[in-house]
Amino acid sequence: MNIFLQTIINGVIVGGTYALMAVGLTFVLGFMDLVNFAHGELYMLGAYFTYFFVVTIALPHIIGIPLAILVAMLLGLLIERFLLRPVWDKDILIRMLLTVGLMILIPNVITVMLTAVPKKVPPPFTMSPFILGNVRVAPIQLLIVLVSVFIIVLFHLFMQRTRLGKAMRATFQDKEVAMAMGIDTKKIYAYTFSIGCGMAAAGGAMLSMIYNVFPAMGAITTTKAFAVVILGGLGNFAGAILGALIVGVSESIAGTYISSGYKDAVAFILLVLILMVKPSGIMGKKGGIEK
Amino acid sequence: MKSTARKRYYHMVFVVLLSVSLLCLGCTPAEEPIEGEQPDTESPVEEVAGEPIKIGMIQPITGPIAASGTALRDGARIYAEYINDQGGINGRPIDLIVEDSANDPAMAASAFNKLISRDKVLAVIGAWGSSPTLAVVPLAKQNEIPLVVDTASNYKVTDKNEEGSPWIFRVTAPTIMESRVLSAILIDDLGLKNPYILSVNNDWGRGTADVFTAYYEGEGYPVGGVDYLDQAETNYQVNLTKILSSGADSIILTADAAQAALVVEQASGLGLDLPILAPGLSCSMYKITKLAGMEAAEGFMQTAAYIGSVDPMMTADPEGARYFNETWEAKGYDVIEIQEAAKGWDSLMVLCEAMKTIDSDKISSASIRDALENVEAPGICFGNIKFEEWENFIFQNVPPVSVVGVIDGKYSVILEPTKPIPEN
Repeated sequence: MNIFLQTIINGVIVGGTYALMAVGLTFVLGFMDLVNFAHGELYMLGAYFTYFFVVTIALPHIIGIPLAILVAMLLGLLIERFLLRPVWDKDILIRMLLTVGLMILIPNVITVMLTAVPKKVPPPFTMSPFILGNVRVAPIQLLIVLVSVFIIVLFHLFMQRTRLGKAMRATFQDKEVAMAMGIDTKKIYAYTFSIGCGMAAAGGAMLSMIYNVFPAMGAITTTKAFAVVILGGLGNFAGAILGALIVGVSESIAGTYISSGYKDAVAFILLVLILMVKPSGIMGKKGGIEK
Repeated sequence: MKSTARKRYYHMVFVVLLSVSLLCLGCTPAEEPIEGEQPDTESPVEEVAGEPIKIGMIQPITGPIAASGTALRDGARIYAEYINDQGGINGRPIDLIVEDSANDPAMAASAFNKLISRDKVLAVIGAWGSSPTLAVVPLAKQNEIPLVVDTASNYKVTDKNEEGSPWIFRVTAPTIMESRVLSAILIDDLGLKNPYILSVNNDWGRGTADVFTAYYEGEGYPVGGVDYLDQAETNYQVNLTKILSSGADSIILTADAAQAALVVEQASGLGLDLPILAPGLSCSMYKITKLAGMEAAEGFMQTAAYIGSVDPMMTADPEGARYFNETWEAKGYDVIEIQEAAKGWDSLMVLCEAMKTIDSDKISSASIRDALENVEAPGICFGNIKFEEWENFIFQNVPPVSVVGVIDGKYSVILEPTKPIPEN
């Protein structure tokens, strides 16, 4: 029984880290119809920027991490302005290929500039694990899940409550009407992509404290984030979180009770089964995306 | 008005671009070179008169294992510069051509084909992991190109009943050799009586898990459990939970050092303070302590081929080891990769020592193969290198294996270099 409880907690912790990646991806994918293969690279850059602020120039985590996210958002603005804006009206495949190009280019540039030697951002504190009976949780992992939840809630409120958030939703529901209402849709595209990049970087910044920072870290996480997003339903935050938890927990159960070698297989079989029953994803709207 | 706004916009773009590039540069500590490689213009290849001898190398330069492959490449390059500074091989410089495998078997195979068909290399060094190496081995045999195996420890590579062949020369130790050396100390001295075997899920990891499971069963000490990790996995809560509930007294961990560091750190985060032994001659304790922290790494042990970074006098070529340490440091490379890099030095060194015995106009793949069969060369990493028969292995070097680790917050030698002794 105890090992079962520990298994579920492990799954929730791992799922929490997937959720952080998936929310940014589902946002860009669902709202902008952009299959952003370079999302993982922004995640990786977020981790490198955090390394720069927290380790190289020794800023406290609480300042370094927001700064890293900010730099990634600025970089997102540049990518949107110079690479994506010229192709927004073109075929979806062109945009997708462009992000594939970025996915290959960015880690290689980082490898050449900084070498592939892995780096590590030390966590802000070290603490003994929380132990309750036979259940153990590492405090830093718990903190990361809590901060992830906080970032996701903040983001959700931003989209629902602020003028900019409403303008974004309006733009992606009907671009022409939004323009007629006086919304500068070009700016909205730029901000949306930039925020998506910021979310990816937030994931990288948080996870740089528990995982290694190296050029290939983005590519490794992207596959899982895509699976989570599709499972949850495109463009749906709650769906992304639920999808992340389902993948995390099912991996954990399969890893504990079958073999860790098969845990990805079990999680992805589950994904296929759910999509067979509900092709739009667990919380996806039939026939379209809720914007 | 519009043009001023545009100007301001481009100004901002420029400033942001500049900041981002500065940030990226800033992530490199001052002592590290910005690029991992030396500028081509300084290549000593041009300084030596004769026609260059092309040697191919296949390493993971991208992907999760990139740091190890890059280090091996840089170690081999240091040797190439060293030998070329001395006039090359009888007046002919060494031209080392490196291809990326990303530690993937398919990529390794196409890298090999490119090296022999386009670059026309005479011999190849590679290909780090057991899976990519096992993909390259049949190609080397089929095309009659000598292959020097640097890291792969799966038994199949040089086993005469499997892939072993007169074209395949392994400088590193297969897992069984490591286990022969370790068997003398594993249970009684190190106290690993009931270890949990945690291995990366590939030919190397599975091969190692099999060897150690068989050893413990043979000794009458069943292992606490066996579990596998994906090469790209980063979160090990599930595995560690199983280890906790198994009641194992230690962990035998087969993984790349970057991955092993995460296991060590996460185990410490969960309060799982078991001794961890990493076989494979590849799991640098320097890397573990740098990534996981000295405190979490306490009690970590690894088998090592290169012990020259701790004490050059313990190697077969102390002068070479000293030169290598100094050059590695002078180039600003990270010490955490030095164990991997030394393998690159030895792999190219043994090829060059073999080629020195051939007339410079008669150097070919076939003559290099013949020379490798008879070569004997003191290495900095793999002992006095020569290729011989050892149990079922053929054309296999028998390197000394040592155990190093973190004891009381210090890097320590737990077992001095010891040659594995065959059973029969």
